[in-house]
Amino acid sequence: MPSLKSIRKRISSVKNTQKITKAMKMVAAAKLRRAQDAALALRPYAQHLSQIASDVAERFLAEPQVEDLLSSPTGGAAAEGAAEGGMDPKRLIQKILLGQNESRIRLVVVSADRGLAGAYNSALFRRCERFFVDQQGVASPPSIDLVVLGKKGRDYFRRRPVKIVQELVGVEPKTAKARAKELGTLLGDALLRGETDAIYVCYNEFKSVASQAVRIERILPLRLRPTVRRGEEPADEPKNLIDFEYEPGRDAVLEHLLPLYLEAELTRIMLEAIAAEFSARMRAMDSASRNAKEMIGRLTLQYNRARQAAITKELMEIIGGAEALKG
Amino acid sequence: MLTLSVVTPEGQVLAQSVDEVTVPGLLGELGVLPGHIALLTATRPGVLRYRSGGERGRIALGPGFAEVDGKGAVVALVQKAARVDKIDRASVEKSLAEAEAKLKSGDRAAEADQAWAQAQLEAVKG
Repeated sequence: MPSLKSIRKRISSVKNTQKITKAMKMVAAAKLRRAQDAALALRPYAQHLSQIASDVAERFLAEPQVEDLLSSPTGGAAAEGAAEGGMDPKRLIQKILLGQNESRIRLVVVSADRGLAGAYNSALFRRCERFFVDQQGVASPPSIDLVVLGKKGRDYFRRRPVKIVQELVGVEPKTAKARAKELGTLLGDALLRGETDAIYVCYNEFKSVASQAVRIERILPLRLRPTVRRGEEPADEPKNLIDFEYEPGRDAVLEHLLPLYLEAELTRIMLEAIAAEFSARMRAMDSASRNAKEMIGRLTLQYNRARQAAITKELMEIIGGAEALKG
Repeated sequence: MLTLSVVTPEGQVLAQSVDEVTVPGLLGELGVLPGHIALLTATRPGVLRYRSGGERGRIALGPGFAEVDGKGAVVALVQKAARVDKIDRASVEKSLAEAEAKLKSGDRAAEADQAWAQAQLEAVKG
């Protein structure tokens, strides 16, 4: 049986830990509120914008000349020139609206800067690993480049045999918008220059305070050609597509839409991930505080038993001594 | 009747049924009346005007998009929006001066700030 002193020491150390976890829980809860408000405020805007983008793509797919556009190859010197000056609308459409084949994928992993958030980061990394395996399984495995957000993700993927093209740490709710714009520009450029064929994002979606879900989404191109659809949900039943007027013209609208869409999606994803991180941390710290409380209870019981045992032992000794003296 | 909503990354600024809307399209002012055909337009920073009965309102818009769905809904998706009663003229004039100073020193990034300040001023002036 451990000595009284050692039990006392353990109790006080567990109490200190509990103080820390309680404080962390409160901090996370306060930060969560702000992050949650920002994420929820952005949602209607981002959803509507991506709806518009996807409608444009859908309508475009329904047009008869889509095959001509897609079958005529771009690339080579002409495409290079187009990337310098104005955008070649054909190329824009090919790249943004309809993916041809995904031989190079850029995966943006949104992880946290800090740990102590339960399974937040590890669930994310597991999902990414599964994505890598899934992509290896297809007929012509694509090469995957990573853009890693968050220190935890950076440290994890640096140790893995993957190619990281960009790292970004220290994203906060306040800076999310500016960071998303930056990142959106880089990703959009990479796509238009042909350095990559598709952009995927892996992040923790904020569903509610009690639940997050790891998601992998393709944010660009908006649609895959039906023939190269892989693992996608089957095409929605043909929607009643009203013909849209575009002002000033479809290609110009597209050119405007791309940066805004990327920025809005990335901001939404960052804010959701931040809100999810705080709620994961809040729950992790809550259960840590509960565990500490339980442990203190158990140790206190053990301490009292040991104390009682010591008293009883002393009493026995005194009584024994008295008996012996009586002779 | 049209249902007009103005949505920004910070949330919805306005949702109201109106009789008439004018949006600052990239090619110029664009009036929308009930029964307008479906349209998607890019917008430049400027002033959105609406009329609902005898009441008129103005909202300063940043760059973005306006969508008319052909069924009576008009949605402006913009990066910034400010109702005219929420605009503080003095602070806008100050930020406009700052932006212009930055532009003169060759900072092209200030163009967006300048356009936004001008849009707000335009909305205040009516």
